[in-house]
Parts: sequence; structure tokens; C-alpha cells
Amino acid sequence: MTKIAPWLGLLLLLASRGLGAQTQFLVTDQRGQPLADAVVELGLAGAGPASPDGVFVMDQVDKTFVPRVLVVPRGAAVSFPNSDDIRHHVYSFSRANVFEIKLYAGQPKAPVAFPQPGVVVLGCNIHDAMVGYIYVADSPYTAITGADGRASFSELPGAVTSIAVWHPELAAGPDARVELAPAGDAPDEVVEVRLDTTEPSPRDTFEDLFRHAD
Amino acid sequence: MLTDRSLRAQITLLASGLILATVIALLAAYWVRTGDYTRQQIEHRMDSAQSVLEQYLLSREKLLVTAARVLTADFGFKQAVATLDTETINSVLLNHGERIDADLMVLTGLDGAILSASAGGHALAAPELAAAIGALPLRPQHSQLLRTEAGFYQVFALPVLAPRPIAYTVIGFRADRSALQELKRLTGMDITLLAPGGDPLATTFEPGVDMRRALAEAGSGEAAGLLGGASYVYRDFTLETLGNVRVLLSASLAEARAGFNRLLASIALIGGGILALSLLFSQVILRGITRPLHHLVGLTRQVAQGDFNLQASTAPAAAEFRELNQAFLRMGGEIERRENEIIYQAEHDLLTGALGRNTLLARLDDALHAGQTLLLLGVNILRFRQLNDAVGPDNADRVLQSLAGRLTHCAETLAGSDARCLVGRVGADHFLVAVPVPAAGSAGQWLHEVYAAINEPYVIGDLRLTLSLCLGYVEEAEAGVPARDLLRQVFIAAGAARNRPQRLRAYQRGEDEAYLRRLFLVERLKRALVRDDGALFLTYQPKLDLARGRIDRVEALVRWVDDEHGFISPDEFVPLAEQSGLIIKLTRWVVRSVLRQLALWNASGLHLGVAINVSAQDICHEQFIDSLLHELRESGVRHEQVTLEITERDLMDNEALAVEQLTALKAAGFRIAVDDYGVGYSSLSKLKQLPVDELKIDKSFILQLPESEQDQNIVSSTIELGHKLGLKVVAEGVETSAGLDLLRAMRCDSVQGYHLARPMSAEDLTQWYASYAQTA
Repeated sequence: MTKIAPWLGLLLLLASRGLGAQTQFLVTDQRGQPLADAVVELGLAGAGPASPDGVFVMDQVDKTFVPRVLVVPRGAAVSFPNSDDIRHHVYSFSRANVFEIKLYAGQPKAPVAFPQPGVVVLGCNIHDAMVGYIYVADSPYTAITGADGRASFSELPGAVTSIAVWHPELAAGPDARVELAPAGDAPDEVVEVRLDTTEPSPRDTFEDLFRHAD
Repeated sequence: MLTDRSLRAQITLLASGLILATVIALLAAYWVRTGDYTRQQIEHRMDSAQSVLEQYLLSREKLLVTAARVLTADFGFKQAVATLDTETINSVLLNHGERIDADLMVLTGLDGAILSASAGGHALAAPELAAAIGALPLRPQHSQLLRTEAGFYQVFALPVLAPRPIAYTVIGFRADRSALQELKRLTGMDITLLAPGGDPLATTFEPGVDMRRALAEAGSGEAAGLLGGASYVYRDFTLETLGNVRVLLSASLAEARAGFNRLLASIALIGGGILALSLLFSQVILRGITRPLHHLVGLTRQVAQGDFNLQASTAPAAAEFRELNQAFLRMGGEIERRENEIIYQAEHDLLTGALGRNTLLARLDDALHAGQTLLLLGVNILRFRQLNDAVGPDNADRVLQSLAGRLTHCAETLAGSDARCLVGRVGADHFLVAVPVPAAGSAGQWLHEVYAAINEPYVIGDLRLTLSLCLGYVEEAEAGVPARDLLRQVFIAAGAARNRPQRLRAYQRGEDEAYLRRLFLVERLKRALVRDDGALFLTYQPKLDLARGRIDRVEALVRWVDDEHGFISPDEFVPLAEQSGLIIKLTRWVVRSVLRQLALWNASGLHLGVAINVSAQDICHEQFIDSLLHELRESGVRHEQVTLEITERDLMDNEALAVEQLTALKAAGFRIAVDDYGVGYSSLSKLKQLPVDELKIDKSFILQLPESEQDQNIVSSTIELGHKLGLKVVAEGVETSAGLDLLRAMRCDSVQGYHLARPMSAEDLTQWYASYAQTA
């Protein structure tokens, strides 16, 4: 379920300059705090799909998915080594990939393939607090922000046709993505993206909860 | 007033009143306190019921929420929900719902759209449900109250986390009766759950109970308690954590009331029992009080009536009453003793021990009426006052005692025993002895013995005293004459014994009467003098002047005719007047009357001299001359017309004073005549000293003058003697003309007598004078 949230009033538009050789993105939350683990997927004109080659690992360390957000190209196979000395039962009910690795320790038999693009939310059946994300990207031009909230692209071969920004804490839900319109070519500029993340403020009724989901 | 009632009533009232008051006070106190206490108890029970209920419901909620959470965390459930397949979702909801006995299972998407909803296996209409669910406050830890077309449910709305929320489940449990029944058993109260809007969700009341009324009662806020009429106490509170469900606790008062009533009944019963017991015992005790009291009252009545034969009460009584009884008996004895003492003192002369006058008289009367014949002897001590002054009262008292003793001894010697003789002191110096009449003839002997005995000298210390005693006696006193009169008779006799050598004299019959008559006459005379109503009147006897042969004087003689007793002779009443001192008044009356008459005669032209008899007492009375002169002035009569006649004897009796007074009278111009001359004690020498003008020869010499030569000699020599001394001589008692002739021959100056005229009234005299003047 991908919903585009057209809340332009909440976003800062890009600067008038276009994108250059190195394009940096700074993702912050609505309060201006840098957001780590935000994924920026650029759609370039004429670009082919990402190569699924490579080994992608989603580990479980100390009852935590590591990394929290893993970006993989479409069709990649992710292995789930269990570095903990306890067993985990990894599962996902996300539309992008419904799978489960039942209670295992160490390396499972085979890595799990992710043919569909989208966000796969991972959970552990035994440990309810464990949450991980695998971003299956269509475009090879996908970056993840670090702790400083920055993600950079170098030497983009073509013009950016679409910008999608995603963060696990997006207010619209983990399945949503924020689409941005590319705003001309202005390289060496930091594109600032402000995202609405879930507020911890209480809502009165479920109705409010539902509304926010829309 | 309470204190007026009998002791019995008071004590009974007190006992029963106290107990009643106690019982009522207790009941009232219990009523109020128990009411308070019970209400408090119920409040406490309600507090704990409320706590229990809250705890229970909270615990149940925790259980339910845990169950719900476990359900929603179930992997299989999550898997089924994630498939988004309606059938799968329906079945998993059903299945898992049954696992936890949920009555309502609803699954909504993240947007709030109902994915599946079923209650008790039945599907529910989506739109209203969605709206209802949307209205639920967001409180994941706590239940809410959800209203559906199927009723109310306690619901938990939980997200299905996989691991991020993929859907929301609403798991509902019906608020059911059985849980409440369990609670009712725990708390002992009826529990009713109400939705915030007031709809009842569940209740432990029996289906027949009118919920509306209960709610109304609860809502009315009536002060519920044992005293009020409400059958329940209500507590209403809201469980906010449980979705604002309202809880109504209803505590039945029936049991509390029943218990309370039982308590009151017990108290009343006990109180009544104690009251009855106390009444019973108080009556018993009362009898122990009132019976002795009545006995004592009876004793006092006895004593009041003079019956001193007091008996102790034999009935059992408290120690205090026995004491009181003893005290009463003692008191009775004391009273008797004192009464006897008082009686003795009343009856006896304390000094001598002889009977008192009244007692003696009473006993005399009694003895006489009883048929006894008594000899009464009276003893009068002469000049006792002088004796008292001479030897002192103490010694005089001892003399009296001694005398009384001697009399008693004599009496007892004769009578033999004390009872039959009476010795009494009837006056300060008068004693009376009454003895049964001694054997014939021995009375005189006994009397002489007594006379001798009491005339013996009395030896008092160093003194040897002899008394002057007069004894009088009544020989045989019998019933018929009152003792009082007998007493008088005895002392009349004693008085008459005075002049005898042996002063012992029997009472002569008639003396008493004479004495009484004298007393009577004195009184009548007094009355006659005061009233001056004609009982007393004057008669006039003319005197003839022989030389001139005419009547120039009269003698005034007083006469008295009493209404009741008729004519009373002057020989009788004049001495009486002299003895009783009335003579002064009498003489004054005579003087006044005579002067009045003289004035009348003077006014009518008849000028006479009047001779008035005066007594020694008159002469010696200090005011006699003054009053005489006063009367004279008042009447306007001249003193030359008045002659005062005084008897020779009277003159001699009071010589010195008489001479003095007569001298003064003569100086005042009155004529003085010596009446009844010749039979008194005068001597010739005295005669010449007396300031008199006239001698009246006593009639005893004149009556038989013609026949008695002796009388003639006496009379003629007396006439001559008188003349020689310068006195006129009058002869009274002339009854014959022979006598008259003789007197004329002897040259007597005046004559008076029946021959001439009898004494007559003033009117008669006037007439007689007129006729005499004509015939002479």
C-alpha cells in the first residue's frame, strides 16, 4: 500500500537550483532534527533497474535488527544471520514480501529473495519489540541518511525524474512514501527534505487515529 | 405533688419511674446510636464493597485486557489478519474470540473501516459500529463501554502489531450477571451496573424488582437509615477507568432492621422484666417500711390518748425500725412518767405534798358521791404573813411542811390508810383534812388530838415557833352539798372560832346561808347605790323641840327595798355596809339625797334641819369633809341645817382621829350629835373633850321610861349632865305620851319616837308637818 501524501504545505520546496554532480539530501523531521535511516530513492530518466547482485544482510544482534533499515535492490536476496545466542522467528506480513523464518539460530538455510519493490516491515514473533525494515528499491540510485540526516549522490548520470523519500517513522505509516518533484538542476546544493514523523502526542479517539492515517 | 402522696406511692413511683426512665433512655440511646452505628457499618460495608468491586472489576479488566492482548499478539491471528481475506478474518475472529470467551470481536483497518464484526456468532451492521467505535476514547490499557445494537459490551481496542499496526481489534465482553452475583455474594450487596447514560447493564436484583424505582430511590438522596423508611442504602459511583460505567450498590436494610428490632425488643423485654421485679421487690421492701410505720403510728395514737401500755411490734423489721420502735417505747415511758409528774404537780402543793385545792375538791366530791361520809376539818393560820416576815420565807415554808405533816399523820392515824383520808392545802395558810367519820363519839376526841398536835410548837433550827390557828369542822359531810360549799362552811366555822378560847368550832347550820346572804346583800347594795333607782330611799322621822313645842328637825333614815328580797332592815345592811366599806358610798348617797330634799323643802318654804347618821369609817375617811362641803355647795343648803349623828361606840373606837375630824366639822359649822348615848364605852372625861353639840339618849332607856324608875334616874341625870356640859339632849324611842310628859318634865330638849311619828317619806312628812302645824 503506497500512498502519496500531497501535504505540500508541510514540505519545504527545493531550492530553485537543480541537481548537480553531487547531490546531497538532508532529511529532517518536522522539528528540523536530522533524521537518520531515511531513504531517498531517485528515479532517473533512462536509468535501468538496480542490479540484484550482492549480498545483503539483515542481522539480529542483541534482539535488534541490524541494520534497522536495509536498502536492497529489487530481486536481491537477503540473508538473515542470527548473531544472537537466542533464537528468533523473523516474519513479515508486508505486501512486498510475506515470509517467515521460523525459530532459528545462526544462519538460515537460504537467504530470502525480495522480488517486489516496496517496504518490508520485519518483526520477530518472539520479541515483539524487534522491528526492522528492508527497503526494496526499484532505482539503483537509492541512498540512506546517516545520523546527520544526510544522504548524498555522486555523479548522477541523468536528470532526476522522481524523488521519493521514506522514513520508518513517517506519520502516514511505514508503507507511505513522500514524493517530491524534482526542481531543475542546481548541483552542489543540499536538498532539504522535511518529513512529518509520528508525534508522541496523544490522540483522543480512534477517529483521530484513523484520520491521521488517511 | 409527689411529696404529698403516701410513702408507698412515692417509692413505687420512684422505683418504676427510674427504671422506666432508664429503659427509655437506653432504648432511645440505642435507637440513635445503633442507627448511627448501623449506618456507619453499612457505609463501611459499602466502602469495602466499592473497593472490592473496583478491585474486582479492575482485576477482571486486567485479565480481559491481557487475554485480549494475548489474542491480538497471537501469530496465527496476526497472520490471518494480514491476509486481508474476509473469510479468514471472520473465522479467526470467531475462533480466537471463543478462546477467551469474548462476546464481541471486531476488526478494523487502520482507517477505521470495519473489516469484520461479530457478536455471539452473529454479524453486526457496520456503519453504526464504526461510528460507535470511532467515538471510543483512546485508552489502550483500559476497557471502554461500547454500545451496539446487541447491547453493551466492555471492550478493549487494541492494535494488531505485526510488528507495526496493521489493524485494530475491538474485543468486547458482555457485562454479565453471574460475575455480579459472585460480587454480591462477596459484598453482601446488590450491584447494578449502569451505562453513563443511565441504562442498566447488569444487575443482581431479581428480575421482578422495579429497577426504575430503585434508581429513583437511589437518586432521591433520601437520608437512608434505620430510622428512615427506605429499604435500601444506596451508593452510586463511577468507574472512570472502566469507561465511566456507573455502579449502584444497594445495601438492604432488612437484616439490619430485623437485628435492630430484635435488639430493641430484647431491651424492652429486659427492661419490662426488671421493672416488674423492681416493683415486686419495692412492694416487699415497702411492706417492711410501712408496716412498722403503721405500728408506730398506732403507738403514737395510744400515747396521745394517754394509754401508755405500749407493746413492741413483733413483726420482723429492719434494724432501724426496731431501734425506732424501742425509742418509741422509751419515749412512751418517759411521757407517762412526765405526765404523772405533771399530774402530781397539778394536783399537789409542791411545798407540803398536800393536795391542791382543785384536786381536793374533786376528790371530795368523788368520795361523797361514792357514798362516803366524811369529817372535814379546816385549819387557818392566823397572821401568817407576819410570821413569814418575822422568820423568813424558808422557815415559814418549813413550818408549813411540818404542819402539813402533822395533819397527815393525824389523818392517817384515824383513817388507817392514805387512800381514805385527804389532806389539802386550799390556800396559802389554809389546810383541809377530810377523814371518814370516826366511830360514834370519837370524833370530838380526835379533833382535840389534832388540835393539840398542831398547836405544839414548831422547832425550826434554833427557832421555836407557836402558831395561832383557827380550826373549823363539818361533822358529817355527805353527798348533796358540793365540796366547794363544804369547804366554805368549814372555814366559816374556822372564822367563827377566832374569838373563842379554844379555837375549834363546828359549823353551825345556816351560817353558810347567812354568810352567803351577807355576800349577796353587799352586792345588791352596791348595785342599788350605783343605780339609784329607788330601791334605796330615805325616810324622815321628825323631832319635836319640847321647849318651843314645834318640829324643827327630822332625822334621815335610810331604807332599802330590794326587788327580789323585799325589805331589808337597816340593822342588817348598815353593819354590812360598814364591814364591806360600802358605808362611805352609802353615806355619801344619803348626804346627797338629804341635801337635795332639803333644797326642795327650802324652796317650798319649809325650813327643817336634818340629822344624818354617819359611821366611824365616814368620819375617818380623809375626803369625808371635803365631799360633804362639796355636796353642800352643790345643793345650796346651808350647813346650819345639817346635823351629823355618830354613835357613841363609833366615836370611842376611833377616838383620836374622830376628835380631829369632828373638830374640823364643827369648825365648818355642822352640828354634831352623839347617837345611842349611854350604851357605849365613853367616859365622862372624854365626853367633855368631844366637840359635840348634842347627846341622843339611846332608846333602851326611853322605851320603858314611865315604868322604870332606874331609867328615869339615868335619863334625868343624863339630861342634867348634858345641859351642864352645854349640850342639848335628845331622847329617842318615845312611844307613849306618859313618857313624853316625863321627858318634858325632865327638861329634855327634843324627843323622837313613834309616839310622835314614825319615819315617813319626804312627801308624807311635808303633809304631816302641815297637819301637825295646824293642830299644834
